[in-house]
Amino acid sequence: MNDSFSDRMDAQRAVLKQINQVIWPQEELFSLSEDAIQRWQSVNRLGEDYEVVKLAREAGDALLFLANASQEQVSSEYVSRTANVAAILGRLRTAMTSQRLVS
Amino acid sequence: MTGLLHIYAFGSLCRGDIAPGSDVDLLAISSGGSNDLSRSMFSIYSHSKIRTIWREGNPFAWHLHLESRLIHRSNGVDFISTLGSPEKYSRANDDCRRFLAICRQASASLQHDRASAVFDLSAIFLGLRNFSTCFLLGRGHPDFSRGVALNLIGDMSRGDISAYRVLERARLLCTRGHGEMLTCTEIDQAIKALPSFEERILALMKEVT
Repeated sequence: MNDSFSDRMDAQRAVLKQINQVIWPQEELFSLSEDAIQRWQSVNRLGEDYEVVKLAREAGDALLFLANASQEQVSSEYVSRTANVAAILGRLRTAMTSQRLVS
Repeated sequence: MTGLLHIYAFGSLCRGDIAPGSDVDLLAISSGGSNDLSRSMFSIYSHSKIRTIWREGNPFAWHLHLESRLIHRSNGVDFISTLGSPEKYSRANDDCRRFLAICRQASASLQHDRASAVFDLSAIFLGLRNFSTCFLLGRGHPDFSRGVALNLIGDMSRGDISAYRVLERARLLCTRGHGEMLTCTEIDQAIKALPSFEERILALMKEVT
């Protein structure tokens, strides 16, 4: 076990706190697992092309890659994917602001 | 699919303690080729990494050694069986501290706001479970079940057990999207019990330091 586990938890928490700034009609987004995203999308009737849905899934995929990749030696792709999660969070903030979901 | 590939099942399926919301835990050990294995379906390791965690005495190595079941072998050999027992697990102190920190980070997040409340409660369940697994393995009594924390902490008040079940439900909501949504009352109940859980964890920590 290493601190990258804690880092991934923090990254996921940051994305969830951003997304859940919105009071979604039925349920909040519980986590970035595919099953949790599908439930949130379904109960809140969010379309597949909805930007926040796409970004949630992108962040989930990035964190899943990091979870698996953390089992191996840190590679340049691992490092760039770590930075990618931060970039996804930035894009999420922009998308939610531009759609007036948050101020 | 090319290269060397071994697939194992592990977790509740192999223990036989399957509950509603249980998933199928699959390990793919893959080396020397390309594969299209789904990262959401498999935990993917190289054979080299598996040998490394065996040498480290990593808890996951012990879990696989004691409970995994072979499903597929591309070379006719049960790879995990060839490894024998992992090395003795010697990092209980450090790993217990890490999982206590996970619990504390989640608790701090809950004190700040409730925007990730279900995730934070799930993280506390995970922290308690992994703390308990590491603690018991360090004492030579391996227990990799989902309910290991309840087994270890044991004698709890009815309120604490109820709060523990809320944490467990949060975990299933997060990992499988399964179960009833937590009510505000249930979330408050779980948060109220957190100091009690930490007190028990800290008491156990004194035994590993």
